Amino acid sequence: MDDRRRIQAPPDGGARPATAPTDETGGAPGSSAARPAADTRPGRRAAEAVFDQLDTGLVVLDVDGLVVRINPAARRMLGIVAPHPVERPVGELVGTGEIGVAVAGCHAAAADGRPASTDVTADGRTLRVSSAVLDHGAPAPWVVLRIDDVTSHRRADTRAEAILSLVSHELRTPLTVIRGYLDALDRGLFGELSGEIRDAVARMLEQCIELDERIRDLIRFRDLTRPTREAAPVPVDVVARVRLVARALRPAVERARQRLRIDACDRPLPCAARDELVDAVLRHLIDNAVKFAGADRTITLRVQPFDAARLPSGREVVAPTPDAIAAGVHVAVCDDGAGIPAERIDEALRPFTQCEHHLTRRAAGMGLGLPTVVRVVERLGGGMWIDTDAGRGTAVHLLLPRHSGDAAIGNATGTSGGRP
Amino acid sequence: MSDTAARILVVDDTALIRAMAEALLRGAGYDVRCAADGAGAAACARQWRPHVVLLDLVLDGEDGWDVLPAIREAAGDGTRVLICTGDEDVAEDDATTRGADGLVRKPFSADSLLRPLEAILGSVA
Repeated sequence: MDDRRRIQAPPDGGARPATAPTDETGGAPGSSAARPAADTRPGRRAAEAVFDQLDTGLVVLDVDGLVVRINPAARRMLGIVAPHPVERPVGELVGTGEIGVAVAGCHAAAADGRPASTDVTADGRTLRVSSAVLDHGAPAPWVVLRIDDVTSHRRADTRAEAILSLVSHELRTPLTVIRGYLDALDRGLFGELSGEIRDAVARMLEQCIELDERIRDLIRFRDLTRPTREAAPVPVDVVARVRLVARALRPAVERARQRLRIDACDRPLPCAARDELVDAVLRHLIDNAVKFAGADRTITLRVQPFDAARLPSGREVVAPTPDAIAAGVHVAVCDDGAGIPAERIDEALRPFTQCEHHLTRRAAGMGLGLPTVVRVVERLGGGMWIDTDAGRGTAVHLLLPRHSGDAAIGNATGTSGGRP
Repeated sequence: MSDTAARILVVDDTALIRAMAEALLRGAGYDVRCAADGAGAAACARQWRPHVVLLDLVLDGEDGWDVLPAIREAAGDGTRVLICTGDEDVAEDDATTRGADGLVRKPFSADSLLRPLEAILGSVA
């Protein structure tokens, strides 16, 4: 198991909680296991008070799924009414509904060494249940379940998606008209232009194309939220797409005074996807590295067959399917730049976060890069990990499911030229 | 317009797009007519026999795929149909398997419009 995925227990952490649970935490009266000798150290009491007063729900489970400790927020969000939940199986407490399934899945994944996260909607609320392994020094680690109420985030996402659908359509029609006329002027279809006018037209056209790209980002993001629009995947050579996208973005990389390196397998690696989805993912990840790594940094693109024996390190953002792990393509976009502080990763994964901080943000964009990548990877049935921290660069690892058919590689040459 | 210029029928429900496409295509030397809906397109196709129909998939109250057979039937065998769409989920293969001869991505540029047009006219000639 990757040590970085473990939560380190305090040095005095033992096999059981060292203090008596309060009524709120649900210790069974008279149970020595649930109610061990009181620890009167002020630090421990303070930590327990924080645990009990958190808005975030926390449940500590042993490997068998028995509750070791639970805070009031978790009891409230999971709807646990039993007065003494400690030492009882969590499955028995949360039932077999959607929340129960989410809790059981996250516990099983973490007990297996794979921290997990899933959203579940019940009774009009959306809860995010995530799990991690708690290394408390005993041979059998505990599992910590974290429960967050993300209902307001989800509602905001839904509203934003409805608005962007309307806005993108309303923008696209006039943009099509403007771009068409500028294009015709630029090509001299309406007669030769003088030098200054030609330059002005070229600049306007460049900005139109840029604006069109942003609108495409919006539309793509909206479409990725619609499962019914699933298009059949075709074999896409990831090596060729990486080279194509890298070539298209190299000018932007050089403008940012950065270097772009490709470390790719020397044979085609077909994944089951669509060209435009793979291109969008690569473009967003490289674009993020260009914007946030800083000057004089190196961006490295790696494409290799996925090594099922070595899952990438870092936080698992999208849990891969076993089939994808067994036969997949590993894409990594790495930089040696500023990195993302751990507490900012959730924010970066939420759509439109850049817009929330429009006065203080460091780079242009709408905050759709990582959210789009997550949705594409989920749609393709792949996996995603982010390995980053402040000051030590960022590596985003993707597992794209290998295309199993014998069909020829898809349109690997794209629209911008042949394979380099 | 020369008698030998290829005839292009633009079908789009947005007047500004029709006007722009017409200006662009005329600038490139084509003979152009426009229609705003499926019925108008079929009528024009029957009477004018265009070489190529540029058919937008999203018409006012109509689906481009639904009006395609009527336009084909009205235009006759010699006419080619290029679908115009801004939907990235519509692939080139989808266009040909559903009865069109090719695809033009919207918003179109002069290149993205004229290149497939020249290619398809070249294949007709």
